[in-house]
Amino acid sequence: MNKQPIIQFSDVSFQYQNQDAATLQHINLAIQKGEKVFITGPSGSGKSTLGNLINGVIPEEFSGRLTGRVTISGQPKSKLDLTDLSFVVGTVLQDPDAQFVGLTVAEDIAFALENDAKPDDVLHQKVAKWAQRLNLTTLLKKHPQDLSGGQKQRVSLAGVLVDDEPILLLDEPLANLDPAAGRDSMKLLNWLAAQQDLTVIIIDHRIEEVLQIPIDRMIVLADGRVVADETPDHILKQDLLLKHGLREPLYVTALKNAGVNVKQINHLSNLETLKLSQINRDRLVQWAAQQDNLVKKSSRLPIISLKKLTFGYPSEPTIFKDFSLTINQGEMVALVGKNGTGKTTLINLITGFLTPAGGRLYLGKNDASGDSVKQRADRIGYVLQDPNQMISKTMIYDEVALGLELRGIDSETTKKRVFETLKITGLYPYRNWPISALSFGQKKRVTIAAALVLRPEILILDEPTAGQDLAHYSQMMAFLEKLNRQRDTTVIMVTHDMNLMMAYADRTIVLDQGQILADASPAEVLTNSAVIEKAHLSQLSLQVLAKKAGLADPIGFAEKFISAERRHLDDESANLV
Amino acid sequence: MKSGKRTKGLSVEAVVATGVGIAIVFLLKRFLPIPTGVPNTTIDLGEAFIAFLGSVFGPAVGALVAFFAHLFNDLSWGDPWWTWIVADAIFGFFIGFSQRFLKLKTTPLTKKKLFQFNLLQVIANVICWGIIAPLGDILVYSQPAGKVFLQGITATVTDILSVGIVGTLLISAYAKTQTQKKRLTKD
Amino acid sequence: MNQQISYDVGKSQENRWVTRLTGMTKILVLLSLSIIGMVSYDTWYLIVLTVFAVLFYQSAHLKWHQVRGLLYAIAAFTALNLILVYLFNPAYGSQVYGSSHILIGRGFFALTWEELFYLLNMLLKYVFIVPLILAFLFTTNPSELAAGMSRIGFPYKISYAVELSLRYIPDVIRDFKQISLAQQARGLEMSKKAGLWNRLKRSTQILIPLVFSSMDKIEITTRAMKLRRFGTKQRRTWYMTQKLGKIDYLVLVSTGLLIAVGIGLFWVDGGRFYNPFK
Ligand SMILES: Nc1ncnc2c1ncn2[C@@H]1O[C@H](COP(=O)(O)OP(=O)(O)OP(=O)(O)O)[C@@H](O)[C@H]1O
Ligand SMILES: Nc1ncnc2c1ncn2[C@@H]1O[C@H](COP(=O)(O)OP(=O)(O)OP(=O)(O)O)[C@@H](O)[C@H]1O
Ligand SMILES: [Mg+2]
Ligand SMILES: [Mg+2]
Repeated sequence: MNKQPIIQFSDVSFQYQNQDAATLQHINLAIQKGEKVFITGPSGSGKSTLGNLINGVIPEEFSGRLTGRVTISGQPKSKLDLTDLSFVVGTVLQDPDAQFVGLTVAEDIAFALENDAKPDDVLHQKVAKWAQRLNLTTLLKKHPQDLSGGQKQRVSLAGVLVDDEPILLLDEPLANLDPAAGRDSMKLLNWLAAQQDLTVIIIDHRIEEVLQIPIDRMIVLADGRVVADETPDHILKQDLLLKHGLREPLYVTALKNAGVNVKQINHLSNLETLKLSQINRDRLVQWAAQQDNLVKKSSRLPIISLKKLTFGYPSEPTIFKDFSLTINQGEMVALVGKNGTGKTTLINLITGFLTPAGGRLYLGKNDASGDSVKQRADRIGYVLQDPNQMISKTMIYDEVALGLELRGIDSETTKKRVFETLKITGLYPYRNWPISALSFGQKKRVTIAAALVLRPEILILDEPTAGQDLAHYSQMMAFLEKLNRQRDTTVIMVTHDMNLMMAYADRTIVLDQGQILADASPAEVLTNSAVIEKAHLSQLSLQVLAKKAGLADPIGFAEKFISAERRHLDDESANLV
Repeated sequence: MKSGKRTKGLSVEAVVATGVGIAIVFLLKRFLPIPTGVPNTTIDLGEAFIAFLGSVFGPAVGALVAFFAHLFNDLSWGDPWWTWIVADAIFGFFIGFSQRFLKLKTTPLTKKKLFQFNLLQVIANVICWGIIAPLGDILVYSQPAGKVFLQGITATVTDILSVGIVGTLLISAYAKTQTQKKRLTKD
Repeated sequence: MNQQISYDVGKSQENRWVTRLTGMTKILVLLSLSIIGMVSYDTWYLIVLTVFAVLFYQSAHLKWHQVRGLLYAIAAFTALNLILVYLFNPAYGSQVYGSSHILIGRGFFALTWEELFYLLNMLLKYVFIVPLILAFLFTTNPSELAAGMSRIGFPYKISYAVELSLRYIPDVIRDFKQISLAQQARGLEMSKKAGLWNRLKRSTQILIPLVFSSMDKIEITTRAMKLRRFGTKQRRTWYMTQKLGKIDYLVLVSTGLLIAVGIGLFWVDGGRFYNPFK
């Protein structure tokens, strides 16, 4: 192919002004017009930095030293500024809330055109066209606060697509979306790419989810270097992802574990069309037969009891009406459900962040309905969805130590415990950094560390694994599990990650419009297609694989796989700490 | 480093800072006045935030934030009082000059700079609340001098406290995130 | 936090003529009336302005519970100011009008007709625009404001800053509550009875995270806006620009006439004051 690539990097390095080492090193890349490229890599590996080089945010917004040659649409980047580039590259940022600048959906979609001073009728006509195309017509007058995560994502897309840039760059488009919304988003992207003849660049951690659509090329970054630049099939056939602390699609790992020679499988990255030969099916069946069953423990001592709770936001319909729920000591509970269904609201009622209109809350045997947030916090550690709302110190060490200091712990013990926690969360090397120099995933880990360090009886984590790569994720989860096993700490996780739920939860509570739609083991939930459909969950790829192999009990297979996998990962992270 | 097509007037960052600033200052003024114990006299944390924004983004942002936040607050009570709105804007403008010597984004914060900042804020408060606002009330609204100076002096004192204590703390906290003496290394 | 910050125009306000007025008209009316009302001391004129303002209020069909709290607050605020004016200088009315007709009492606190009349004027100045503002507060779609401001000549960057502030008010409220709660969950004491010093300290503890999160927000939003070319042209158009209707012209012309009359009265009265005591 001797077509001129639409984006080309030749030996590009970039070093942030206040960093000691270059964040990107000797990057060589070529992206062809019309390709769908997926950039992945561990947290902090420089993915967002690379994206910012493409759309011109670097060097306009962040100063530093840039060497090498970047060419975009045939022009050297040094000749293009952010404005020129914005006609070529449309960017959807990591955080849709911040991206949303208009008061209403319609104004937000029109924003770029307004800035180009396009006449009124053009504005209205284009907004109408894109709203219709992305199914937003009924939402045009809504305010950003009133949209679900998936809807916000679509608005962000519309706002970028209105002015027909040939390249679309998305930084973590799947963060915070429920599995169904994530799948819809990916399908929409696929459709748009075909319709508009777009070049699409997706930056994300969630490899399995992104590979739901056909991707032309995958670029893996690690420590600021390109370690792979090939088709997904090619990459999945090697052990590259795991080696760099990334999670490969679980069905691929399962195939490898069962001794299937994945190199011989065509279309490995597309589970739907993947074909298994009889020998390979037998291998999977055999492997499953050799594995132990997952042991989960059960306890019957209630630690959180909600009795007939009623709550609605002011001037909105009631969300919870006579809602009752009991969580037992030592359980690891996953709270799941679609975007905007009330998971965070429920947690806020338990921690006292919100006050119910009626009903009671018991912690153990004590009626805690009247307790203040602070009183409850002595027993419950809570990590909020948005790390920026929790961070109150400038340095990482101080932030993690704050809770201990406020509780009057002496400084020797504080130091010991803070360092210990920083190691578990993989933040120890950064302990003297200002929090402002961290990536999103790293910030989230700071807030988790700040809760872990207090060793609370109950830990509640809202989306703990958002923006985390496999290595940090399993290290952190292993530690949570250790707390759970050794100290009987009760852990409640709000999550959209089905694999996390399957791997670590003893019990899954599926919330839907203020009702409990299901309360069962993760395996039972994942085999109930009505619940999956209604609560926007998704089946595991392992289940699909097991069905293909003709196994009688797909979920049993998934359970076995996950428990084996976890033993393996736990051993690894034990070595790390 | 900054390149490309610049239009006259505010930078994009200043526009956003003004927008976010108006929202925060308005809410602080409207919902979080701290009673001092003296009847009808409260400490206005909004002024501390105006001073902070001014010190980071300069006089234009300071003045615009103060003007619109004060106007919105008055409107939300049903009654704009223009002389005080303008006095507030002038305060925001003056305090914005602290950006010139604080240089929070590029240089470390020293005791001397904090002292200069506080000197400036005291002068600005005295001029705006002790002189401009009362004079405006006398000239424009024809109110008796004794009454307006009493109100002016009260506002001067509470705002000096608000900016002096809370504003200074905000600036110090922000400065810590900005200037690193040494480069960042993992160890 | 309360209903004035909630966005949408209420059900009972739909289809009212005051709701149909464009944002631009409302800003012009509000600005010009409040400025002429600030300068003029002609009692009759202030009464006419009050009546004009009440017309808008009438049209808005506000419910008592929507405005009750505000009206009480305004009443208390106005009363306090009038009392202060009187206490500080009971003879101020006589100074202004150049005569002294004692109504009751003697010595320093003697109440004159002039003082009473002056206080009546003060009262009018405090309250004449309240009905108009209340009406606008509950009938204006915030999206129209920036477009309106830009249309009457504010630089578009300033207009957009105002639009952004409206966009961020609900976010800031939510952040603020969350931050304050997250701090309590970390162990920060929040008892109601704390002294002034403690309250200040506590507020800073919450304001500091608010500073960080808003600086973050400013940085990311700036980036998002630059990526969509905000501020690259001398001019900007607005999706929410509205066509002026008949009712807009009617209101604008009436307001213009009122302002002209107000200015004319400076000649008739020989100054800002209407003096019935001459
Ligand atoms: N503004 C900045 N100033 C200094 N260093 C920065 C800045 N932004 C990022 N870095 C550093 O560059 C490295 C890469 O950051 P980047 O945001 O590109 O990572 P990422 O791969 O997108 O991570 P994540 O998946 O967590 O979003 C990080 O170690 C971070 O500390
Ligand atoms: N402060 C608030 N005021 C009014 N409505 C709110 C507020 N916070 C949330 N809501 C609404 O309540 C509903 C439940 O929101 P909640 O944040 O609990 O959902 P969630 O299940 O946590 O969603 P996600 O998975 O996207 O985090 C949503 O419709 C949301 O729009
Ligand atoms: Mg990133
Ligand atoms: Mg949530």
